[in-house]
Amino acid sequence: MQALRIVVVGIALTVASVVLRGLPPLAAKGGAEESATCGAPVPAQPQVRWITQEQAGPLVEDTTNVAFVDARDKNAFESGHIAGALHVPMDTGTVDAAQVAMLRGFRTVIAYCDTSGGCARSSRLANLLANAGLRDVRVLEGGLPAWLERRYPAEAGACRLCP
Amino acid sequence: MQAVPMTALDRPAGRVLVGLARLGLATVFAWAAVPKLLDPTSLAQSIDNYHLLPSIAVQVSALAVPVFELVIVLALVTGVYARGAALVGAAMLALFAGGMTQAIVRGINIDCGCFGSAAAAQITWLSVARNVGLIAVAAVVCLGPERLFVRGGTTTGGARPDAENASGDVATTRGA
Repeated sequence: MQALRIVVVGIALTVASVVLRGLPPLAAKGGAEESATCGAPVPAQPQVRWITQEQAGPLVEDTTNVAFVDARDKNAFESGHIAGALHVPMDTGTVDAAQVAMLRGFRTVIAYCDTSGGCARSSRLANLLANAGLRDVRVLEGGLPAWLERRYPAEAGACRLCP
Repeated sequence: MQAVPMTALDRPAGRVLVGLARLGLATVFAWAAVPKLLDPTSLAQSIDNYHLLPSIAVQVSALAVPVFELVIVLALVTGVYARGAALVGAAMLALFAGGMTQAIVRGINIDCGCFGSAAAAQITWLSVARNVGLIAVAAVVCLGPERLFVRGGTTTGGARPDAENASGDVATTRGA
């Protein structure tokens, strides 16, 4: 009975907190998605293709030839990303020369995000990279959520190799 | 006739142990609650990273968790419904331990969000073990006497009456 009273008080105060403070936002899925997709249109490049989780999974070990690129914002990236992934956020909807240069040394670049908006961020990133001259750019089907469901390697923290 | 302590926790040494357990548990929950209250956005993101709940549940949880933690702190410190608070606290700790365990098993190496944005802490089995230890401390509070200060077998004041026998002595009763 005591526990029930504690729970009732907790619920009441939580409701009051929701009313007074409002719900906290989650990592701007809608916001970043809008900025990424509302920027100048990027023509779809024919060399940008999808890659399945099963095809991409083994490639995470080939760190010399394959780069995974995370298109989400900094907080989301540092909270958890594909092991060894590089970070090219699509907050501004563009990529800069330093980021492209970082990726030129890889044979294959696989862009991913959290799949919100139908992988809009990773698709945009992939097309921008292809526009910049990268030859083999893929978009990871299912993004990070599907990767984690398959228990493929993941890690957290800042990007170690990014400019 | 003097009241007879029901368990070892009713004896003076046991009451000290229960008091320390209450204080320790209250300190941990307070330390966890304050940064979460100040930065619910980071907490929401940490909870979301576990990939367990829909967005709306994540957002409500980000507000509910520190509120419940503070309620537990107040109950433990004041002694009002302390055992019930310890039980609720143990349930929360078990829930968090379950969430961390599934993250470890799934291979997700992420900030556990245990102490809000004040101290980013990677999830490890030590994190789970810490929670299990705290559950044990909460169990001590749950099993201990409601009132810590006993004078000559008679409890002092308080809202919840103890059963009295015909001679006026007091027999303590239990109920969380």
